[in-house]
Amino acid sequence: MRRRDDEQVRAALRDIPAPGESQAEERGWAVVREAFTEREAIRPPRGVRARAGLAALVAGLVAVVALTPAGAEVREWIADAIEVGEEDARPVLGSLPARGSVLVESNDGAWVLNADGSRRNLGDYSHVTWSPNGLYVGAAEGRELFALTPQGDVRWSLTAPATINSLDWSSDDGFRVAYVAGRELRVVAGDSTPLDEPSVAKRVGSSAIAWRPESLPAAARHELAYVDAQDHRVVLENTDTRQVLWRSEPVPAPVESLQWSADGERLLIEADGFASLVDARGNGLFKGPVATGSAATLAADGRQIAVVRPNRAGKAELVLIPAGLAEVRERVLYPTSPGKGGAAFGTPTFSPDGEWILLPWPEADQWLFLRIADRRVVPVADISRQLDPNRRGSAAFPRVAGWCC
Amino acid sequence: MASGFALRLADAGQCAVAMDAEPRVLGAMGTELAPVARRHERALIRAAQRGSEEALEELFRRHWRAAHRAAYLVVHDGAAAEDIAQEAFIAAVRVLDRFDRRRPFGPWLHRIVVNRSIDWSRARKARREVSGEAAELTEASAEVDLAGLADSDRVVVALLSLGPEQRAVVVLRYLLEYTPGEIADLLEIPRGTVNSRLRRGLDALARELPEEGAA
Repeated sequence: MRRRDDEQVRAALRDIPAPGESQAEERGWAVVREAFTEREAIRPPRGVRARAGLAALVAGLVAVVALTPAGAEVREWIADAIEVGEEDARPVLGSLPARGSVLVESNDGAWVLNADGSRRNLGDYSHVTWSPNGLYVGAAEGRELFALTPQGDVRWSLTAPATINSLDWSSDDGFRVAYVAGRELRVVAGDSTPLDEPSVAKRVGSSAIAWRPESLPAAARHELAYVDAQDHRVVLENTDTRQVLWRSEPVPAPVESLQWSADGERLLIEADGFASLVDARGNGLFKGPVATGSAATLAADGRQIAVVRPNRAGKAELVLIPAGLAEVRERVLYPTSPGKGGAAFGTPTFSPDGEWILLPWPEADQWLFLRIADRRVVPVADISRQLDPNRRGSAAFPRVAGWCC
Repeated sequence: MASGFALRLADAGQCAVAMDAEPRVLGAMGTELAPVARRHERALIRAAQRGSEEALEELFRRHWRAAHRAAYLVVHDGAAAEDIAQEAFIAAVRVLDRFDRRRPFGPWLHRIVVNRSIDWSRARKARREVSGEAAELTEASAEVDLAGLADSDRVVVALLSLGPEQRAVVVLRYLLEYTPGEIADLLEIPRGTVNSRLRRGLDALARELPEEGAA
């Protein structure tokens, strides 16, 4: 009975045409052909051209020695083997594997990518950052500082004395915004109201700044970590009282980023060549060399650091390192293999629930969503094009600025 | 009925293998790709990657109709189905350079088509709920006099009584000829969920089909 039903349903479905099939097919082909023609007109980008050249060389050599069917299989294998990136990557950046929204800077400006797959272009902004609850986006354009809604509406703006190089929205009550204009650090209220002039205006040794989170907004302390320009120490300062809470040892290399854990109890100092972790009082917990060109991100719970580093074979790999715990046991979360190519990844970004990591792979033009628990990989292809649909920019790969809330 | 449809496709030069072949590695409309056909498809993809419009057109002609019909049976909106099928092929063009030729093209395409069709159906339902419109398609369809419809129309109406996720599973199984395990992989859902959706879907559809031996 069930088998008869199966066959009947199968037969019935095959007998149902879509409306206007033939005309739809011709319209479809016209659209697809146009897309293909456009692709041919702009092809090949630099990386692809190099791969194609290599493919042609390899295929040419093999063709000389093998024109048999077996030879053809060999050629195919060689051509397949030089693909870069994950196979079977999703062609479209749809819904995110975890809650929250991803903030991105691309050639086409800043984007908000929502969990349901919808996305919005905010405009030509850089140095974008989330407000603590993801209600606003801080952004810069030259000397202009903006507070935007995630829909791209400007709530307020102000003009800085110099080009803005970085900004950070206070991660406790959201009532402060710090920014580095030129080499000078400044702080304004979260509604753009000027504070006592100047609240903070001092020279800094790096554009890396980070507000210390406070889990209770009512107890917001407005404590900001920055790098002192004179002695290259990391400083934690209460920007309301101007009290310096602590100063680190001098950092021997340019500081690239400062990242707090969500509870404000740990601070990761990432510099060129090493990373160190300190507690809320500035006491060192962990320090280790990190290869130049690597990237490190502190998990929200402050207990793990995701590090991109080269392995012995010179390929990049993503490793989770316990942060300052007695039992130091690394876990390779994503290794690359010769077949996948891959010499460098972008900076990893944790999902708000801490269960996933977004790992950019510029060389493959892919994003990898990696589930930490079981190392499941969800690759998405064609990231550059999807975040630059108007093809305004060069070959720069989109930068992930945050995955919030 | 199946063989008639296969014949029409074959006549149009769009179907390389008869539809009633054992489904394993699938091409257009549930057709298994024999090793030769699979190699041919890989060659087509490679040629398209190298810029051959003819190769791309052959791939398109092979797979368009199945993609379009699958989308239509899930969304039951002609314009939307056409858009979804087009978008899937455009997505294919965009990633052509990186497409893994060792993988069959059909499942890759069908994954996009079916997932987008589900998304579209959900979005339509959400819009209706938000705008307060009462004319939900499934509700309207429930009032259709099924007795006066042709078999195929009755199946379409019965399909509409299912949710989009169930419709998708039924379409993947009975139009595109995927196994439950393959459907689970395509939709990233547990195999048990696939089986239960298939069972409910088949029950709903079977009620609208003529009894065996009936005129």
